[in-house]
Amino acid sequence: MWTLKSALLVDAGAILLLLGLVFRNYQAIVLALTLLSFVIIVGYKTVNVRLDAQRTISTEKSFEGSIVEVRLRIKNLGRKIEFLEIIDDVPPTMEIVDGSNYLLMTLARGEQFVMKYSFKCHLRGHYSLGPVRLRSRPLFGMFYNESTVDILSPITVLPRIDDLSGVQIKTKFPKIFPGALSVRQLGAGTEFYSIREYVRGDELKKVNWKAYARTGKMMVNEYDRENVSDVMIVLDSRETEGVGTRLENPLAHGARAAATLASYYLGRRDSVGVAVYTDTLRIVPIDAGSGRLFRLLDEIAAAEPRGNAPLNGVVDLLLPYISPNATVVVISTLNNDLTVREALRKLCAHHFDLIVLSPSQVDFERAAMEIAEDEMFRTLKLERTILLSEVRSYGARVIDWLPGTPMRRALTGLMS
Amino acid sequence: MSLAAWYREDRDNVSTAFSDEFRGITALQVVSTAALGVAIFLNAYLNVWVYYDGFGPLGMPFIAAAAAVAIALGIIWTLLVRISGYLLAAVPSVAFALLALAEAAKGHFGVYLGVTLLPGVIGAYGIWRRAFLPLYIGFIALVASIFVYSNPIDTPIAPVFGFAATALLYLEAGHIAITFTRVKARVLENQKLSAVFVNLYRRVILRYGISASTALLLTVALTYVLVDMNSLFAYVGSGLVVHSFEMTSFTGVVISATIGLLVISLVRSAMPR
Repeated sequence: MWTLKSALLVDAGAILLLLGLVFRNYQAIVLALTLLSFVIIVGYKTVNVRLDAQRTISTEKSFEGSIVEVRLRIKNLGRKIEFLEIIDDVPPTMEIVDGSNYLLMTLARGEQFVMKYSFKCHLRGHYSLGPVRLRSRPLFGMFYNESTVDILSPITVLPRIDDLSGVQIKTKFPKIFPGALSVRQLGAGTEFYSIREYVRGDELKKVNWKAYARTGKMMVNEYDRENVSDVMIVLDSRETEGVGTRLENPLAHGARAAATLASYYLGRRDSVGVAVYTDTLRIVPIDAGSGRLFRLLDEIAAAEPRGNAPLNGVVDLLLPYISPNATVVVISTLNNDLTVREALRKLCAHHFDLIVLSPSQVDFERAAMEIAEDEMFRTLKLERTILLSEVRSYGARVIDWLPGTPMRRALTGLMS
Repeated sequence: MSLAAWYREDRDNVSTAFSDEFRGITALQVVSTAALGVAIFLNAYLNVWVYYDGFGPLGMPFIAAAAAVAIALGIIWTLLVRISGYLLAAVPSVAFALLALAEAAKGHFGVYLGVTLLPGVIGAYGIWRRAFLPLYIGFIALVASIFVYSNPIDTPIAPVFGFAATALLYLEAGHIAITFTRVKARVLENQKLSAVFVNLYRRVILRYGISASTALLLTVALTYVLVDMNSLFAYVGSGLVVHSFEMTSFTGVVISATIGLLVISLVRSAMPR
């Protein structure tokens, strides 16, 4: 495509030629002929871009905050390209931390160049690098040629998994098969639960001799039962969850929480499933296994804020997928949904161990918009407090998660 | 840190100062400014010195000083605009007022102002502020000033060709300097400069220097051939054509050159690219 510069030079040359003729100005004639000659000499040189590009990335799956290295090998298969601009398209949420995804170069025939850069992944999701966009032109910029090399490299940024070592999240209901998770019932486990007086039939190895020495009564230790449990994590990914900035919003926090909890439960050999709802519901059924985590994280990574499905409808659809007495973790702001109470009541009525992890949307919105704590904010906070209290009264464990609170600290509320 | 905050911070940290690695751009700017100065000088020479047969008792040195003053004014203006952008509008207005006043007072001095001050000030501003618009306006001012007085066909050919070549060099070098500056700024936004990139960039600038010199020489040569095209037609023609008044007149020269230009253009477009 011809550039503005070439059009201006041709126009100026033609106008000057005519003006020189009209005013009989020799200087104008020579200048006009010079401009037009210049266009003839440099303007007809075309740029045929024939490039081979191959991209390698250090990993196709990474976590939020990790760094991915990219090597783009470019080889010129055609004629010499004097002025070549190369842009390797990188999603806007990636931060280039080393090298550059943009280069200007001259490439001789058969010459190849390796472009290296690294970027930091800030936000979970499924992305693709590329295509490689090329703009070539002769050095004098009389025209340019834009093309793309359609090589796409998919990359999945998985939500960050926080360290929960030392945190004990207990569940109320055991399963039949023994496992690693401590449930809040007495049983033949290893974790100390309480102490009581000895009764006939107790094993002698359970006698607490120190307590006996102190009190003069035979006391025995009691231990938690250790059992596997089924866990279904329900992640709210409605449009309203995206309130805030792109990186700091309830959904971003919720996704990290879901990933962390999934990793935590699977690490304890529990069976875990994930349900993400927007205007539709995507379910990864409850199961266990070593490769399970990435399957769950993939689903969580794809969560985008959209739609407005009611939680009650989601629960109705989800019930067949949840085994009896399972732990259900609902991660939602509980905002902008009139069916929340009914849905959560229903889950409790089905004797699920219900945990509600609720990022405070009001606070996220206030932080993003940098507004003061006014009357409206206080009213909304009060409404939210009332709602959470009501949910607690159903028997659910509820965490009001404020922005800036580390997940580890937020989840310690589940330990009591 | 949010992505928006990171982006803002990153942009704030971008250095816009020219480091040694990119002295190629500054060299292009110097070449462009020098070309502008020479073009202004030759224009003044043609318009004033030749047409009026001298410029009073001061003569040639005065015109040379005029070109230098114009360039100096341009650079001073550039510095002033850095202090206050309002001067951008004020200075050309003052220059026009001076031009009008001077023309009224003494014709020659007005011509001097017209052919030196305006293109010098605006062109230098465009080159050193790295802005396309003033660069082109400077070129237009330079071109407009050649119409203050018309040169006849028997004007000495060396300054005429010199003016055309330097005017083109000013435009081309200034244009590419601004283009490279923008490319460089874009790279800096993304990343600090690496040795690899600096080498790549130097190679592009070197390549440009060689190509520009070659293209300029070819252009001047081709223009010379075109201007003399009427002689060629007279040589290959016969009879009345050879001795016709039309062929040797101003119109004959222009029409011959235009025909030659179109033929060469046609041949060039048919050549392998």
